[in-house]
Amino acid sequence: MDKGFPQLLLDGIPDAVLIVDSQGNGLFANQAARNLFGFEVVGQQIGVPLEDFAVVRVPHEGVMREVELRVADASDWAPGSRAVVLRDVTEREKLKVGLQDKVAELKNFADLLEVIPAPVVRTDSIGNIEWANEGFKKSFGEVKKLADVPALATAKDKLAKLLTPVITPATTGDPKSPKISEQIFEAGISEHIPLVVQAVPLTGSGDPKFAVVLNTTLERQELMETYLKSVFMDADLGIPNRRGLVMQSDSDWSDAKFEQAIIVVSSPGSDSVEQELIILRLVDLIKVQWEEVRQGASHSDADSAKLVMRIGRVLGDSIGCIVSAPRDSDTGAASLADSLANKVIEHGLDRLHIGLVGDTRASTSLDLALEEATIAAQEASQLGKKLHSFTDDYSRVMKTRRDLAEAVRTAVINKTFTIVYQPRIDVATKKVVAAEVLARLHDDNLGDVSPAQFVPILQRFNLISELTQLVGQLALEQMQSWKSKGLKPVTLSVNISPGDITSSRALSVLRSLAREFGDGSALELEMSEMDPFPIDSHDSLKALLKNLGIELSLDDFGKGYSSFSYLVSLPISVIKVDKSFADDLLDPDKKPASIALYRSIVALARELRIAICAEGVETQAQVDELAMLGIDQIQGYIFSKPLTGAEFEAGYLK
Amino acid sequence: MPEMDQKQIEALIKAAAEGKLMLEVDFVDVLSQGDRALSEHIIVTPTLDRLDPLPTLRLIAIPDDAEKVLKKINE
Repeated sequence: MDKGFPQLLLDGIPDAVLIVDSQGNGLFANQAARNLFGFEVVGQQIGVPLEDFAVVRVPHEGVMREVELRVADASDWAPGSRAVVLRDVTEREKLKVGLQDKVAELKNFADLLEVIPAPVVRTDSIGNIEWANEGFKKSFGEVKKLADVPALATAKDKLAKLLTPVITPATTGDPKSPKISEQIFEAGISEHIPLVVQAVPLTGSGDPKFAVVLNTTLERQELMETYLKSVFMDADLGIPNRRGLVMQSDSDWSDAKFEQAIIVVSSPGSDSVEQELIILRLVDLIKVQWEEVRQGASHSDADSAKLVMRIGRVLGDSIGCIVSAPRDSDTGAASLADSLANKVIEHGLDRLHIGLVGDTRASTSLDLALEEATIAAQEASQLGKKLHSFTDDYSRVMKTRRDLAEAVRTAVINKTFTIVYQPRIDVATKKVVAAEVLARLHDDNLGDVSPAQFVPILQRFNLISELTQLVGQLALEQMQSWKSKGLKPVTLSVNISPGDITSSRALSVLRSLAREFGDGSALELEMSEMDPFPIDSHDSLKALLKNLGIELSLDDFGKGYSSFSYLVSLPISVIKVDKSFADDLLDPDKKPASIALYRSIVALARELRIAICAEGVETQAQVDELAMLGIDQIQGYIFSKPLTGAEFEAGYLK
Repeated sequence: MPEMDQKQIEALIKAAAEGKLMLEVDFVDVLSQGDRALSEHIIVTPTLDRLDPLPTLRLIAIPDDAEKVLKKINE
């Protein structure tokens, strides 16, 4: 098989496919895998398969599904990696069949396609089949041409269009070539079960080649309907999803006689239930307003029939509307879209933001135009506007955001985060009492990525415990190095998040780290007031602290929803007062309030026998003021910026 | 717990009891502790996580062969 096999192909297959490296870290998951697991698997430790073939169980929505697991070598993809293919075989019948045809040796990527039940072939641009996998041979026999597949007999013209050579970065070798998404069509056949045919252009020089997947359900129609729905439809709403919307509108986009404009309407809800209700209302609202716009813009029924608006859910909180109108019509697509947007705003909900792309011709693909409209909607939200048109500046912003997310996720997989240490100084003795361990990320392309940038991304992908694990591991290695040099250890404080309590791997690292301390030093865990630990996790947290002699500190105090219940419910040793209060000491208007706050916290802390640390202190004036107020510790640039392990060792441990 | 898993686990514990390995095992029933399964990112069962010594190791598609499993854990 050609190298650089597009992963779009794997996205179109009903079988769940994962690629894991030799340590069992998830490198890739296709659409079916993401649907099955319902969480982000890339960057997680998925697991090292101990057998090449097994029947396992997958917990899915409260029940266990029996799944056949097969492993294939995927070194074509990434050296030393393996592909894990999971096929649902909940019925006993299928289970017997699967156990019988165990594949003995899986050598390369073609072998991966062999273990996927979906029929896959490689063809030229005419449809001559050059290679077919077992799945194809079982379904269709030794067919030589794609057009000879019985189910495709009535779809010859669609097939011809499908195999039209397309320009992609893959085929031209030029990364700037416009990307055209893979061609998919549904061949509805009267006597046979519907077939979904997907063709993906392959890399390589010479005549264009295609990988063609035929998803057939000669066995069960329901499976196909579910599959089609999951690929093209939003699971809950019964309207197309982003892929479905683009597919529906694609023929108009390719047709020079039509022009199109896009609006994306976003309205975030505060929780998932509210979100669904908002989306439902939005869909109805848009449909009603479109009818008005359409009637208003046409002189006759014939005219109005030519004005089309297709709707789909493009993001959790966003609906995309692609408006299509004939080029010669009186009211252009851009104007129709604009009218629709304004009507939706007029009759719509409170928190609503709309992005507009007036002319999709300016974009290189419909998919990209839709993305641009989505970006414009986000910009509208940030600018506090209801309606905003896309301009090129934003594509740079969005590209940066995408690159950033990719860089952070890659850093987690490759473990390229580093740690630095910022000392906490005792006000009275001026000696270091502890050091806060902070994560740092440097990307070759993007430069330094700050925690303010990477923490939200990690939270969004549910990878924050992976960071805790990494930081803990690095701190452990540093501690062991210092001990081997005979240096006196100092208390280290590590930031933790609520999810860490239920992550065995993060806890395991923290436990190992805790064991390195003693003799006047301890491991301290810092929890932030901004990201509180739910009450039901307090017992687990307390148990952890007690068993290993770990201390607990409360960070960002005063910044979040100051919940004094933490001070009562958890054995907190140190309160770290947020930087903003130290800053306020330098502002004459805010100083009195800030002083009052510090005084009351000091009084409270004395009663509870908790130490107070002021964060973010930069000037001597602040230090003097805080010393007078009775603060115990200070952490800030006035004493030291965060240092590398070597710098900290030289400055504070020698 | 399904019968197949219990056999495997019993084999492991037996091996441990015969002095081949010091084991502390924490069982998680993914159906009754769904939240934990989700936060641990369990994708299939049975899954075996070796937490100590570091680095952590996760094994999936675990065979009925306790020797094989023990060998991998000890690597």
